[in-house]
Amino acid sequence: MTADTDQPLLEVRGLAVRFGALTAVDDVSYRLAAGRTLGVVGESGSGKTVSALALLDLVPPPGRIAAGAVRWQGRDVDAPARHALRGRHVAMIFQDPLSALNPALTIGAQVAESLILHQGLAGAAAREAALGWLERVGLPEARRQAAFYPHELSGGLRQRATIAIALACGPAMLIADEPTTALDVTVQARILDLLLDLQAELGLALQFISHNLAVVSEIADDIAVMYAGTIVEIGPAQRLFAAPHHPYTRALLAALPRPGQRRPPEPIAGMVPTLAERAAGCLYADRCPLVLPACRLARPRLTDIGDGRSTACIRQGEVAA
Amino acid sequence: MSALLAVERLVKEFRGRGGPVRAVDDVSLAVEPGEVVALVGESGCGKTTLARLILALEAPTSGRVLLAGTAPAGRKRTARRIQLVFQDPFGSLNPRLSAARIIAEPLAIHRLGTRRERGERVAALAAAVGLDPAQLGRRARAFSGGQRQRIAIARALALDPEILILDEPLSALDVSVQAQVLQLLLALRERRRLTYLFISHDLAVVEAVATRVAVMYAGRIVEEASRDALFDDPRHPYTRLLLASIPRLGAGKRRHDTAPEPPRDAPRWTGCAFAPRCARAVDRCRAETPALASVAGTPAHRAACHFRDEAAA
Repeated sequence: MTADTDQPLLEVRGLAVRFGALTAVDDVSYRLAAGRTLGVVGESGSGKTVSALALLDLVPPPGRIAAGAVRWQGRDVDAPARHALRGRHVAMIFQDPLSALNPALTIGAQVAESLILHQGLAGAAAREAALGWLERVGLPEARRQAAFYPHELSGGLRQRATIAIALACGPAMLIADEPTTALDVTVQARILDLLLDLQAELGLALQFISHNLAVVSEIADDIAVMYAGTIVEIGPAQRLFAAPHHPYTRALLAALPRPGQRRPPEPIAGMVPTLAERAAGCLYADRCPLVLPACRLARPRLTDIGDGRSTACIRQGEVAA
Repeated sequence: MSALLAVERLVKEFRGRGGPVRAVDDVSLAVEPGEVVALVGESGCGKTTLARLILALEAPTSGRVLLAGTAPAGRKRTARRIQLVFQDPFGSLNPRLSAARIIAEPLAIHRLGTRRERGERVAALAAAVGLDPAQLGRRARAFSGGQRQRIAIARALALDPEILILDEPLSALDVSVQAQVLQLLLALRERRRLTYLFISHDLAVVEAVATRVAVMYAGRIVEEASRDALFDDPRHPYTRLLLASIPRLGAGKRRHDTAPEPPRDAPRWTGCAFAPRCARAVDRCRAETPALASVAGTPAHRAACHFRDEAAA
């Protein structure tokens, strides 16, 4: 089963975000079904966070959504209405749980607040339900720890608390933006387990954003590889890893040290173009070993190549080797 | 023969709320010329404090640091032989100084060379780390993360040290830049006969570049072995947990592991600090701190576990 054949919960088409005259995100399209995980990988400035914020109309000024259609549960949602998706339908968690938590309220009170706002609970019922959520996200001794303030918890427990707050709203989809990046590796593993458990239990659609391809590969069904504001390749995780169809995906895989390999990874020459350096043709052309003159003339569009996969490269058939 | 760098029974205590806390607890480690010794562990394990003790930025509570068999007197003498490259090239370089000035700073502090000689040295260092000498007049903040890390490496090399301590040198960099900086570090080690103490939490990078690995937990080295022995045949349960936690590229969706998260409580003062998280722990583990000792038949492979001679199931 691939994202292609599932009935999508969310469908994004042609999303573009501009900061003044500069295009930060361009022509981003993807679908996500209930119970599935889309991993979005990319380096800094690739547009992976900005495109997620655009989904909820949360792009910080001076950024603005310049184009794109969003369908949620089969209905078109225009930009102003996307704000209303937030929380109730689509919740988001971030790399730094401290920035998302209120330092002056206990963890229990913050989960309860979410239940009061979004589920219409009140008083003791909200407090009891909040405890239930804190237990569900694996906060040990939930009743005792519910009385703690965010600064009194470790990074891993804080992230568990933000997950409880996000899920207490009853969303059908969770966007997790680098949720494990600031955590130690053993804690990261536990948080990934938790997200997979909760997803299985609640049928959540998960959009998991990370710069770390290895982390994404442990949690995603499908992967979108972003480069300089565009999706250059998207498809089922296993097939994408086994045979990348975009030269950037291939280079990114070679640039990561792999367990058991015991030799240094291969660098990618050059750098990501800045917003001001983004020319008309393929944005990867200057770093690409397969570049042709045609690559610089027009930007290749993300094209369906079958097998649930799409890629934005005119030489896609020659990439995997 | 004495090691290039020898850390002997180093202890560093800090004052904590409930009495002294041992950030570094009886650590001994020897580094031979040309090695890349990785110091691995999670936040709070004491690896950065250990680095600061080696650099003489902190005074130990007890124990000593020897360079080629002798104890260097003070920070400045140590700096001639050991230099540090920090994790964050944004936080560790003054954004308003030019790259040239930053690279020349150690030469100025140690009053080495004339102005002109320093200029020549800076240009040579810049070329050695792959920076364009024509751009050295630009301020640090005008450079990308990868370029800033190159500036930091050039500065660390200015005094021609024998040892570089690399404290998470790749963590703040993008993936495609990480591999570039790693390649540079390995090339410099060859060309300049450097020895590295590579502090990292990223076991995938450690497996790619280290010759030897020391794993720290709660202030102590709990396992020390050659890279291959450590990754192929880990003997401490914490090392096994770390290895099991590395996200594996393209291996499919993760399978559950069941090891608990670290306890919030302060490390225990008796017994093995890892016992509260360890599935193998028995009463003896909670009563008696296991010494860091050789695994049977392999003297160079040491582990601080009462069950060190049991291979993984």
